[in-house]
Amino acid sequence: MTPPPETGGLPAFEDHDAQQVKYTTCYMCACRCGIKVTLENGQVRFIQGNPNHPVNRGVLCAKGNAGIMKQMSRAKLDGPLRRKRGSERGAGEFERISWDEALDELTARLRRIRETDPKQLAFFTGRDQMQALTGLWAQQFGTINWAAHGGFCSVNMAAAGLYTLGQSFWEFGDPDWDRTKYFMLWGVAEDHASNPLKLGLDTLKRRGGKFVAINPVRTGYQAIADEWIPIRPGTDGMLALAMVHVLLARKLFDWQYLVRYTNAPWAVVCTPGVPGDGLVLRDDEGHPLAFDVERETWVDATLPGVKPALFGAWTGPDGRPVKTAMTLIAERYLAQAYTPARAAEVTGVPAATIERLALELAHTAFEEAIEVPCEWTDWAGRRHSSVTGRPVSMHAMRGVSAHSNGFHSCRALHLLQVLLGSVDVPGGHRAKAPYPKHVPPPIKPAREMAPNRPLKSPPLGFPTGPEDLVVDADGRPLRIDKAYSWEAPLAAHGMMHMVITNAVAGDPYPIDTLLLFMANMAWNSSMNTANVREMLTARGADGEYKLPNLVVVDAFHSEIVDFADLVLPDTTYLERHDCISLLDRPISEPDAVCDSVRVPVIAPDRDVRPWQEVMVDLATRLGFPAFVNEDGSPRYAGYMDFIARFERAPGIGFLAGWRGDNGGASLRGDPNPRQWQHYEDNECFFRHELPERMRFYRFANRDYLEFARDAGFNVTADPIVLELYSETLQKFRLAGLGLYDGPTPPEADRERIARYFDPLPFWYRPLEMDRTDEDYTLHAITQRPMMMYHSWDSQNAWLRQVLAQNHLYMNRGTARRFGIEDDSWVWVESRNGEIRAQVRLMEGCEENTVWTWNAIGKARGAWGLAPDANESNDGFLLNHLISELLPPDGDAAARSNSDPVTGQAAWYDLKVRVRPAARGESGAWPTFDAPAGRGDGLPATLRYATHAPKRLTRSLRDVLFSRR
Amino acid sequence: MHPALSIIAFTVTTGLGYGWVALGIVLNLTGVAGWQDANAFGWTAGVSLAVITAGLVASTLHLANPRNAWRAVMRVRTSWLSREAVLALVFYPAFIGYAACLFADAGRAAALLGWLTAAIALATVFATGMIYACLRTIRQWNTPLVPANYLLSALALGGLALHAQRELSAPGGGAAVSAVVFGLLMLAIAGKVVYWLKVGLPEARTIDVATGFRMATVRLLDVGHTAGTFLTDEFGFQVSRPVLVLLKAVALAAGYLLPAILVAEGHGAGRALVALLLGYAGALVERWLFFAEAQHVVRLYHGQQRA
Amino acid sequence: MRLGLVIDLDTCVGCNACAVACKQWNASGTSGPLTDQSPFGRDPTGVWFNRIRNYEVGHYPDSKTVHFPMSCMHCDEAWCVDVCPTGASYKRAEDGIVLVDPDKCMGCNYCAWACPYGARELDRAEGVMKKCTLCVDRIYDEALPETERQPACVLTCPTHARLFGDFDDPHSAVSRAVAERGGQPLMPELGYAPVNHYLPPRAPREAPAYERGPSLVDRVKDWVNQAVAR
Ligand SMILES: Nc1nc2c(c(=O)[nH]1)N[C@H]1C(S)=C(S)[C@@H](COP(=O)(O)OP(=O)(O)OC[C@H]3O[C@@H](n4cnc5c(=O)[nH]c(N)nc54)[C@H](O)[C@@H]3O)O[C@H]1N2
Ligand SMILES: Nc1nc2c(c(=O)[nH]1)N[C@H]1C(S)=C(S)[C@@H](COP(=O)(O)OP(=O)(O)OC[C@H]3O[C@@H](n4cnc5c(=O)[nH]c(N)nc54)[C@H](O)[C@@H]3O)O[C@H]1N2
Ligand code: SF4
Ligand code: SF4
Ligand code: SF4
Ligand code: SF4
Ligand code: SF4
Ligand SMILES: [Mo]
Repeated sequence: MTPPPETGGLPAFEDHDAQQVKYTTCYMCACRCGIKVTLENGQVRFIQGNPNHPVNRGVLCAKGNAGIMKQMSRAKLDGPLRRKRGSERGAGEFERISWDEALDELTARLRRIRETDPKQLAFFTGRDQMQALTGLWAQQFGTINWAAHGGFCSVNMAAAGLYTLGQSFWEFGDPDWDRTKYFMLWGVAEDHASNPLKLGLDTLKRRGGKFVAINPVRTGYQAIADEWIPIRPGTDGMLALAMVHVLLARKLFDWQYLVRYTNAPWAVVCTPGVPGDGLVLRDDEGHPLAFDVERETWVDATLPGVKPALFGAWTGPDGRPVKTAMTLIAERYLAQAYTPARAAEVTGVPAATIERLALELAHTAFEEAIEVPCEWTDWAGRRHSSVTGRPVSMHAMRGVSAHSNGFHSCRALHLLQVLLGSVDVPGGHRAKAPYPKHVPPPIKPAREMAPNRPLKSPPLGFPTGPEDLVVDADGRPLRIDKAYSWEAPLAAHGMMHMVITNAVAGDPYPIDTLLLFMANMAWNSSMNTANVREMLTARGADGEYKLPNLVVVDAFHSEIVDFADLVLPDTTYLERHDCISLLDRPISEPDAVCDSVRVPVIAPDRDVRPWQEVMVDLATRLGFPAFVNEDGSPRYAGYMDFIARFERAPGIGFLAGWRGDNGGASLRGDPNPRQWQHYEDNECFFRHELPERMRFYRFANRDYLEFARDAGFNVTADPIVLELYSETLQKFRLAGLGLYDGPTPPEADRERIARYFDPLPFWYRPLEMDRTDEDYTLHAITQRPMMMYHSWDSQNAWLRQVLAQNHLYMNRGTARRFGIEDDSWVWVESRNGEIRAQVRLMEGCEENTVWTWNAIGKARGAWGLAPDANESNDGFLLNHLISELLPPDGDAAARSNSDPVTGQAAWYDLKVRVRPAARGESGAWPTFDAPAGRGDGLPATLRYATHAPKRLTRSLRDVLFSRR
Repeated sequence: MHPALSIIAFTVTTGLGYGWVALGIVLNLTGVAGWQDANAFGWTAGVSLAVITAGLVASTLHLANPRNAWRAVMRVRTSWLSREAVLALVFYPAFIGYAACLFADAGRAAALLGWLTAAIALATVFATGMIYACLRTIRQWNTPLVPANYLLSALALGGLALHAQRELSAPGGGAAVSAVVFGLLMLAIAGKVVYWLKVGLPEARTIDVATGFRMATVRLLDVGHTAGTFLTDEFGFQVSRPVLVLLKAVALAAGYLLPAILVAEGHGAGRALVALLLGYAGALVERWLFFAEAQHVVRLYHGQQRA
Repeated sequence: MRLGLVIDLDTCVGCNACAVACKQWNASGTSGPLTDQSPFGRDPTGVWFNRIRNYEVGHYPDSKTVHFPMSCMHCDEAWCVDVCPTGASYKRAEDGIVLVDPDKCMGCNYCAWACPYGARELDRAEGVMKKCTLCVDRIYDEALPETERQPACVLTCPTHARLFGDFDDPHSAVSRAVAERGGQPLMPELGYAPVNHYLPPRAPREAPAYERGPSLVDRVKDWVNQAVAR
């Protein structure tokens, strides 16, 4: 605004000379928006979105806006802590020690482990965004017991995508917001792409597109949807497959797309009960075969120009009966099991609605197709002058994936997208570099360990058959979390939610040290929380803790900190260097390859160190080969130096921008010692725009595929074939059936493997639901509140004013049936126990569902809050009700409460019943006592400001004489 | 509305004082009941001024920043609160002038200043009423019945004070005053009843109107803060219907009917004092109800269905 | 000039970004600090100029959830100003912004009573009434880049559900949005003539669909293959 002339005498409100502007990257959540921070007197005056940043384009969410109060938190750790000698673990009694003492002690212990039995160290990380570094560290240490939080987060989504499309939703790909005309959102409350999703929904709605939200609850994004589909939890796979039924029945699918880019025309052997059944028919070189409709003969399905039949059943050249994958698809989904009528019974969505949604999707995809002029070359070198856009797009997250049928449900969504020809096309769902990758990415999980030796490959990877499992000769799990065992063969992100339970049970073996970074396992990231807290303090017959040593790296006094034997205090995000790498969880956009860094904008006022720095330090002390020179001297001067100089492959490092001698090389180039400076000069991000010819069909786009190979995203430039039919899964199934020429599951696992490793997506009732008494009639789920990140933000004096207590929300009609009144206290019971919570009634909630905001309830004394804080007395944690183990199925041993394919924690399978609390019963239950002294000295008021206000005053004249 | 005790005490107490002064002067000037003697007048003047001043002091107790209270006179142009403040201030010289004239036996001037003082006293009470009545945000207040009732209350209560003063100085002497006070109490009762009837009418404003979604049921899902705020503290007060009815009965009976009976049925200082005290207590209850029953429109945004 | 905001109820997802951005900017702004009480204890509360409420309209399963941010409407007929006895509250003639002069306020709450929209909050620690300043300390600050001379809440809104501008200018973004989308003030019948307007949620988009038709289920077997070259 230009001030109106009369305004004249406005004071200079801000003393800009006393202020300083710096750019960095937000980490109030994992979205990693660019921020512009105005500093004044060593304090933060204002944090705003960086308008130039590709992620958030100037906007900022509530959390990002509250960064100042994270800095003002009372929970910030201020120095290394050691559990007081003689005190009980969990009592929260610590002594402050120096960093030297802390690191010496830890190094000695880790060295002993590394020298003897490296798997005795389990290193698990929660909400971090530096898995490339922590993973490298673990690999160098030589323990396979490393994973990030993905196993309890959304590995179903990631794995289903990577085993189908070579990408996924989430940080793998985005709807083409600028072109899409029909957008379906499945089970998303907030997601990691917090601001981008909001920007996208805004774009979509302003462009007039239709927005359909599939979610049992109507809040947040669903509130602004044009159509809300209140689905019964755990049934999305059925809904998607019923839509597939409609598309197939009406012949509404993209024939060309399926032929050109997917394995739908591949011939699949159909010899039930015989080895080889369900595998792809291949020629002698292993190429898949298809039946050419013009030549009427078998051809290598990967060759350009062949005209494969999409449908058909033949006798193969080797005499075996075969059908195309597409035929199997049609047979499966055209069957009665997937009719809209049947789906309506399962999902609660009327059959006519299901049918209409499918017909709307198809209509938009095919009748409103868009043709975007664009010169591009396909994988076979054929040039094209345009791309056909199918302007339907989807996004899905944990509502679909956090169920034990999530892997197949996510695959069902991808099947639907692919039938519509809408993957990586204009208006559809577009990949973001370094995706797409080959299906699946060619990395195998590490299995072999040896003392003092790095692993040969990273701990996590993508098995393509039973021989890749991380099990011993008897099929027993080798990893502490049992990832990649027969219990969860495709556990591509590990199974962090099982670590404590397994380690304490000594199953598969006891460990010495559990190192937790940024994971609140004594609270919101554990299932069965109250019991996990007991496990952490459980002692063996020898009187020693069953989990001998727990090291916690945290920035704040969260619940897990009180259980630590050693606490290493981290900095806040405003105080440290960090990099958001393409090797990690990238921030690219469909049109540009991006990465970014974080730089300190304020100096820590406590005895804390960035964990990055400490990791490099520990790696050097322990003499990891990648971190020390031949003579054992440190190879890197610290984290920044490491990031600038480490090369994963020649020319490829953590940061892709400004490589090479003078920063002239992008993506690949020699290390550049001035790289950090370049990032700082460029507002802390790097954006490499892709030319138009590399923006679509990237799985089959030669220029892009070559570019991706050169940039190190992919190993080869071979085209990526979308796998609607998963031969990988079929191999496991054959193993389960005893028909596989390779490792075979132990007896107890055979049936599960055979059942759940279906090469085509299918819907089954989530396991817990299937095995829980019918009288637990309600589904209980959680949602992310937009203004809170997991457990972090209750310490935030501004954000907690908005939400300091969570309620149990339920449908008003349902409540009436149970005699439950608004705002009353209720007991919520599951097979794992009961909790007490306060009810809030609403309309926009599916009738069989109750829900609450995630991780708002807290343990007393944690997070720098007073012991009588609302969070720990009225707020509750749903996790107490969720068992980490499934109810036993017959005589078999209890299995983890996870997806049987990927091991994804099945948070949302929970079934409960609710009854009114007795008169006089109020307040949350269970509660946990605060360690003595917590909450002492908390201020009664907070008056944050970085300068005395410049007041705007009204003249006496005006006071006396103005009309108003 | 949150019934702030300081405001209740302020309005009732100043009302009593102003009513007392106004009624005394008017009865004197109209010859219905003259001041018995200078002593009785001085006595009345002193006590009533003290009462008024106490009331005004009480009014500052609810100010969060009383240092700026003096500024309250600045916006007479638009603010009834300012007008009330100015009236309250000019009342002092007028009343003191009147008293001086009375003592100086300046008849005409006394009469003139008397009328003026009484007018200012009543205008002050009227202004107090208008502070509330001018608020379109509070349906229960936004009616001429409010200043009318403030005036009637003040006069009735002032009447009881006058009655008590007279009974104290000359028991049994003021039949005319008793009659007037009885009449005023009856009027006040009528005023109260009419006001309560009006307030009890089906409410006009709904959450649908407030949010603009007029086609369907609107319900609050989340108010946006877990604990209370200044606004919920200030406006969120709620009394249950039975309590409301009970208190209304108490206010009417104790505050108006009983005193009326006491005034009408006999004489005596003790009796008159009891009537006054009952009247004062009743007025406090009634004023408390005046706030407690008032529902600010913002409550619609906080989830109330009607206000 | 008549400056104010437009809030788009069609895209507001209730994220509270605007509320916190407002808190953040204004903490060190001309009305700052904005005192918080019991910040780490029971019932935390404080002064905010912008709060987001959520409502549900209609009944399950046809209910619609609406997020509803509310801050000062900078009313043309700002009765909150008229009632203020001290003259602390005023409406600027030049741009219509309604402000409180903290040096003059006596903390009587009267203006808050007069405000139908709950836009005024008393800072109990200072004894001063506070309210949205329309970021008067940003919008004219020529040291800021032109594009950032916007209220903090507007800059931050991730769905661009907030617009700022001059309602006197028929070509301004706010005037056009109101005209095109049928923007409404809240409770106009009270006569405050609020400047801020709300754009109603649009009617749900209907997407064209293929006609429902006969199923081909029975004919999978003899599906005719098309000759599509890979
Ligand atoms: N019931 C239920 N439970 C759930 C979920 C659910 O939906 N419902 N969601 C699950 C999912 S998807 C996830 S990802 C998990 C998340 O669970 P966690 O990964 O445990 O997540 P947080 O609550 O974010 O806490 C992690 C820890 O990070 C610490 N921290 C914060 N900032 C920093 C920092 O800068 N440095 C360091 N070193 N530490 C820091 C915090 O203090 C806290 O102790 O929760 C899971 N649990
Ligand atoms: N503000 C904020 N943002 C965050 C986080 C946070 O804590 N706060 N956490 C981050 C993390 S770690 C993650 S993993 C992501 C998760 O992002 P989301 O996937 O958005 O996470 P949830 O809140 O678990 O959302 C699940 C949604 O699915 C719905 N739902 C539950 N069951 C079903 C179902 O069976 N079918 C369907 N269709 N819907 C269902 C729930 O109602 C809810 O709306 O968010 C990230 N972003
Ligand atoms: S979404 Fe919010 S909290 Fe997350 S990085 Fe972006 S601004 Fe920060
Ligand atoms: S920032 Fe925008 S979307 Fe979020 S609550 Fe405010 S107006 Fe709504
Ligand atoms: S919204 Fe309230 S405070 Fe703002 S101008 Fe209108 S009446 Fe005054
Ligand atoms: S609180 Fe302050 S601004 Fe409000 S009416 Fe009273 S003096 Fe005026
Ligand atoms: S305009 Fe400024 S003061 Fe007003 S609500 Fe927005 S951010 Fe707050
Ligand atoms: Mo997560």
